[in-house]
Amino acid sequence: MARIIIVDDDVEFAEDLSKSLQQAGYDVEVKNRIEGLIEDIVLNRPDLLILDVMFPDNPVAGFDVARAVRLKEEIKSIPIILLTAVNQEHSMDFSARDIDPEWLPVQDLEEKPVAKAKLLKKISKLLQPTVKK
Amino acid sequence: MAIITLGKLLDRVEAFEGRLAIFFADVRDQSKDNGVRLLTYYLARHRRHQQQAFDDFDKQAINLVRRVKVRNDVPFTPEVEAPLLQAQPGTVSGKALLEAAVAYNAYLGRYYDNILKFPLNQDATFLILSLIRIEEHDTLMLKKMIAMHYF
Repeated sequence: MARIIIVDDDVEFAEDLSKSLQQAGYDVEVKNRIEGLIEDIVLNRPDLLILDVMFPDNPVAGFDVARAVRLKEEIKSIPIILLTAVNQEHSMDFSARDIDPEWLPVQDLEEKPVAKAKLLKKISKLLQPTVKK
Repeated sequence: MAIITLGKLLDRVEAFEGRLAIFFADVRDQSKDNGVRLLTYYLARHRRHQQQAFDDFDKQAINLVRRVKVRNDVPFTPEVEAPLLQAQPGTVSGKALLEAAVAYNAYLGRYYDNILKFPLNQDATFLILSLIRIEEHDTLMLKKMIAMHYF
C-alpha cells in the first residue's frame, strides 16, 4: 500500500483529503506543521508528498520544503504535488508551467480547490512506476 | 553600420535574465522577509519570457527567426537604466524589487521597440510583438501587486 503524507495547516481540508485518499486505498498521514517535517520525511519515507504552499508566518513554506527535499539524498526522488491557494491570496498565476529543478522542483502544482477525481488520477499516475497499490 | 542577427539581440536579454535569476535566488536565500521571498518565486519566472514567446514557433521556425538580420546593433544596457542587481539581496524590500522589476520591463519594452524600428520579416515581427505583450502583461501583474501592498 502506497504511503502519502499530506502537509497542510488547514486541518479540516487535510483531514477531508486524507479520508478520500484512504478510501482510495492509500495509507495517509497528515501533518499540519512545517517544523521538523524534513526529518519526519527522512524517517518515514513516504511514496508521495502532498504539500500546501502557504503556512502561517511563511507564505513560501511549501516551495522551501520541496527544494529541501530535493537536496536530501535519501528522499530526493519522492514525488511532490503542491496543492495551494497562493494565487487566490496574491494573484501570482503560479501553475504547473512554473515547475523547474531550481525553483519549483515538484511533479505537479494544483490550485485549491481541486477535484478529488482529478487528484486521485494524478496520484495514481505518479505512483505507477515504483509502487503498486 | 553593424549588421547583427536577431538571435544575438535576444541572447543578450537571455544572458541578463540568467544574472537576474541568480540575484533573485540570492534574495530568496538571504532575505528574512518571507513576503519578499515569495516575490522572488514570481520574479524568477521572468527568465522564461523568451521561451514563452517562442512557444508559437516550431524548431525550424525558431532557427530561421534567430537568423534574421537586423540592420543596426541595438544597445542593451539594462543595468544602467534599471539597476535591479545593485540592491542588497538580504535587505532589499518587496516594494523596491517590484518597482525595479517594472522599470526593467519598461526598459525591455523600449529595447524591443527599437528592434522593431528596423525592417524585419513577418515571423520576426510577430515574435518581438509577442515579447512586448508578455512584458506588458507582466507589468500589469507587478503594478497590481504594488497597488495591493502585498509586500
